[in-house]
Amino acid sequence: MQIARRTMLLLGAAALAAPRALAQPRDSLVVGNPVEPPHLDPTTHVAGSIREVVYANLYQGLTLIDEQGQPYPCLAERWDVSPDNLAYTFHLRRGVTFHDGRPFTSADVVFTLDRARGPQSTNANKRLFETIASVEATGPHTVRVTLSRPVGSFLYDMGSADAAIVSEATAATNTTNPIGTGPFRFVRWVRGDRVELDRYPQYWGEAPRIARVTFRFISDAQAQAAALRSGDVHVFPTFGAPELFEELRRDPNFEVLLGLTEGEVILAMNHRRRPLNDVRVRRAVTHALDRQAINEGAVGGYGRLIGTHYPPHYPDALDLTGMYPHDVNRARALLREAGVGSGFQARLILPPFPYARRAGEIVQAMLAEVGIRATIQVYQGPQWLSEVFRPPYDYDFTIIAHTEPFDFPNYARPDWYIGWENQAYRDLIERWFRAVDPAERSALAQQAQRMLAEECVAGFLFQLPKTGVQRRGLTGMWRNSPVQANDVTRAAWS
Amino acid sequence: MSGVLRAARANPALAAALLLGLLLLAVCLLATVWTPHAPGRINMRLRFAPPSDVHWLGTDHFGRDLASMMMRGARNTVAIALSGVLAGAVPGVAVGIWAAARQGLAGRAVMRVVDFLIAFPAVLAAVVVAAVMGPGLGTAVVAIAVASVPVFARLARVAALEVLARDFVAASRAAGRGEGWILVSHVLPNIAGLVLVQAASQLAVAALIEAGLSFLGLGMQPPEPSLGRMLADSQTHLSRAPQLALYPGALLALIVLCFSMLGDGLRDALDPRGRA
Amino acid sequence: MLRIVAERLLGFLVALLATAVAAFVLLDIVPGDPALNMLGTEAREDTLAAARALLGLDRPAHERLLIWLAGLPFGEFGVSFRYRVPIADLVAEAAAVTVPLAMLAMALAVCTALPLALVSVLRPRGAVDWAVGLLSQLSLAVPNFWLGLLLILLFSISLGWLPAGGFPGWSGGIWPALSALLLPAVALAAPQAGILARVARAALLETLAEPYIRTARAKGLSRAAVLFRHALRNALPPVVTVAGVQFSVMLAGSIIVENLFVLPGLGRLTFQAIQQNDLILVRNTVLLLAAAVMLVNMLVDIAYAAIDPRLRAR
Repeated sequence: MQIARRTMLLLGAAALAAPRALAQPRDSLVVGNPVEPPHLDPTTHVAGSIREVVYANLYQGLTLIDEQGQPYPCLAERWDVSPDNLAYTFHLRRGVTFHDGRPFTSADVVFTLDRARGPQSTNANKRLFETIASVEATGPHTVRVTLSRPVGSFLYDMGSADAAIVSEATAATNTTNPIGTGPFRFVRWVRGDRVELDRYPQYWGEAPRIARVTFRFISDAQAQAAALRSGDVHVFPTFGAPELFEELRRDPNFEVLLGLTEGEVILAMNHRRRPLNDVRVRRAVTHALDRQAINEGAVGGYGRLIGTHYPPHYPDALDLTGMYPHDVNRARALLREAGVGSGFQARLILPPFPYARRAGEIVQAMLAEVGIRATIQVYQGPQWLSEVFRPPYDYDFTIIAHTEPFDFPNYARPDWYIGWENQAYRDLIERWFRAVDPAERSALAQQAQRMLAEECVAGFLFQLPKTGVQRRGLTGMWRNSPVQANDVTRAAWS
Repeated sequence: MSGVLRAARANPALAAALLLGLLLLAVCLLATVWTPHAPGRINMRLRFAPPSDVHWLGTDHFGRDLASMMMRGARNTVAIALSGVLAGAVPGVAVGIWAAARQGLAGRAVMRVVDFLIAFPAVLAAVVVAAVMGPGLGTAVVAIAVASVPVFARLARVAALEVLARDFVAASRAAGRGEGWILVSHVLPNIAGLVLVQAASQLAVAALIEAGLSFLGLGMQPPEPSLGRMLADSQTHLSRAPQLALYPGALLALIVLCFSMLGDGLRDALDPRGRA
Repeated sequence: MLRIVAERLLGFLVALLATAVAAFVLLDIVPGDPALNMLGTEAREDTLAAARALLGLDRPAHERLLIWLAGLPFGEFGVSFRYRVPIADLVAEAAAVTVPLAMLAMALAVCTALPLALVSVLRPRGAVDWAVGLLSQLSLAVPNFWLGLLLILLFSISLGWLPAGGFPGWSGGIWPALSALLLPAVALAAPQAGILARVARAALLETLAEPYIRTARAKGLSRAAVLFRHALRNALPPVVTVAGVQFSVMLAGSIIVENLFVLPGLGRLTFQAIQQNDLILVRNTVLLLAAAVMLVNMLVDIAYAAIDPRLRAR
């Protein structure tokens, strides 16, 4: 005991030892990511870890999404939209080449979109391309895309990584030797450690200031901190452990970038099951949750509490966190009212992500306070997906961050895992889909936010934070994360 | 029992192991009915609290009482190890005795399989079991049983062969007793001591497998505390709260040490010639 | 002798085939669809069907088993569901971490176990012998992942001498790679050193009891001189045998240590493949590790038969 205490003192003293000053690199950048990608083709895999390497850096779309979450012209220089909002004519940028030297033309756009919506498509977001009725090359540098119905978010959708423009010649091998049109080209992948990208000399646009960017994959939080301190990694756009984040914050060598992602972390409830199909029970669950405590335990308190399914940093977001506050007595009363006053058994199925496992343990304890006895099962990724998201939807609760932008319309889908039956919401979402006027879209989105909160469609917990740590002197990294990406095209050392 | 006590007096290591074992057993039994605090109770305002009168060893990253979690975790480790070894010993001994009685091709083939299974790394087998069954309490028990069956089968076969060669077995055979009667009445009682000794040693292996699976997140699930998972969770907080790694690991090592010393000591007591 | 070799070889091949079939059958019933992992929460029936076809999962199980078995002798293990590259490549990259790790751990274990055994038999039942016995007992009881955590605490976090995890690859030079393997090798070696020290001590004591040693002692050689000149060499065979088995166990048993230190070796590859339902990869790595264990056992068996004629009769 005495020895252990002395050891701890020694260790504590060493951990607080004065930080070394680090030499600053000039035109190289090492970015640390927590997860190694399975491969490097975002058009055939859902993994965010792919996007965090290649989006905007290596591959580009007709449009791309900027740090504010707005689409901007990229491979399409400009476009004309027909008055009925059904036909988009894209005027493509000239003088663009793929990294293998091939010129970029309208044929590549036709190929990319037809591949994504075709019968053989393994695009993880094929529904983005579902409304496309036809794609034709009207010239070597013009493409006309016709939609079957107006889609308010079409230009945004074309900026997603799922719509990255690829060449037919390399589409099959992009998994291991990715070829895009972006400012960086693929050099090599040392599996288990890093992917290296170099500045592409023939890039059509403004050349990036960084000549070589290396993405290193370090999952363990202690190792992440050590890599930053030793100078092996210059920036972690999303640093793993909130507890260590505090330490780095005090270190003058580093600067922290606190922002938010598009990920609403929710305690999903299965509406296909009793008693969770009863709104009183769902309200009781919401009253049982101390969101601030969950936020602190899961992500160190860096997330922002949410009361509905909408990114709280958007201008038209409503703060509805006060609607059903933490109130154990009220929760118990509601359960009694619903006829389950003695509580009930439930299964809380968790994915293996750290935030979900941590939040899950806390949520379980909070549910137990009001008599809901939830057993936790942590599944590996695919099993979690198939139990929760595929029929017969065999779960009661799960915890998930819905990271896609504008995903609140999903609650209207009858085949979605939530299973919420509400015609009024479905009508509302149908109007939102077709609406093109920004003011109208905003008003409809606010109405949707209110409905989701009032019905307690899910336990809305917090917005997943983006906790970035970087070496002082680095500029141009994103603070927020409107899409899963680490866009380093504007990064530079001051 | 009196034999064990006599042996303990002659062998201080065995005496120490017995004492330690009784102490651990008492803690485990106590943990079933009482811990200083509810072991799963989360308190976000008390995260990483230092040791105090209220929280003897401090609290973890969720403000849970470390001492209570360790007590309950130790109980879980011991209980799982015991069930797993038992679940492996029964079929293992049965297979071993059967193979001893049946010396033909079938018996030889079974022992070949046993030889292979003994060499097969327990952790790898456990991870495959977890892949098939999914994480949980049952997985840990099955994984330990799978690792234990061949160990007991080999031991039981060798011991049974020795018993079968003795005179009183031949006498029984001459008296017309059936093979089954001989196995149950002569062989089983005569190899029981050896099996017990092996069980004690195997408990040490079992505790390590349980902790290893929990460390990988494949063992017992929250809110039940588990020493292995506590160690896995502590990795993130090593620089801030090293005690979260130090204490549960030390307790785990103590449990394993106790079982293996118990096994060694009992083996010496049973067969004094084996002592070097 | 030839008959024994042939018999063991045949047994090895049969066991290998049985393991392959068992691994396939066991892992084929694991719940979860690998295609779902590619497509995530927004998967649809049509994209799932296309993905399954791409992964070869649209064929019935017995066909996939036969295709796999037929490819094995030619080193065609199939293509990983998750990484979409040939499994042989993945395994080769991972082996470049695990094999050196096991070798390093083995070297550490031998280099600590042998000297400890030697000093402890200089005076059996003396204080040193007792201390060594306790140490080996302890090394067996300490879980290697806890030891690993303690090593990280001391050498990475407090002293900052060695990395807490990760592997920079061999291309960046020998030293960075070796320094990344050092702590995990120590964690892996400790319990094996404990076993090895016990085996070596027992073997040495047995040799020291032989008549020719007594003769040497009678001629006036000191105990230490006898130990080094005669006993050590004769006690080596059992030690080498145990070390051989330990090496194959370390290859397969490094799952936990590789996870703790985030090393991209065979153990972590297997564990992650299980997490990702990349079952085609799991069954291949499991088969490979099992084959390594069986191969070592077979070689030990044959070597024993060659040394000891009595075994040949059995």
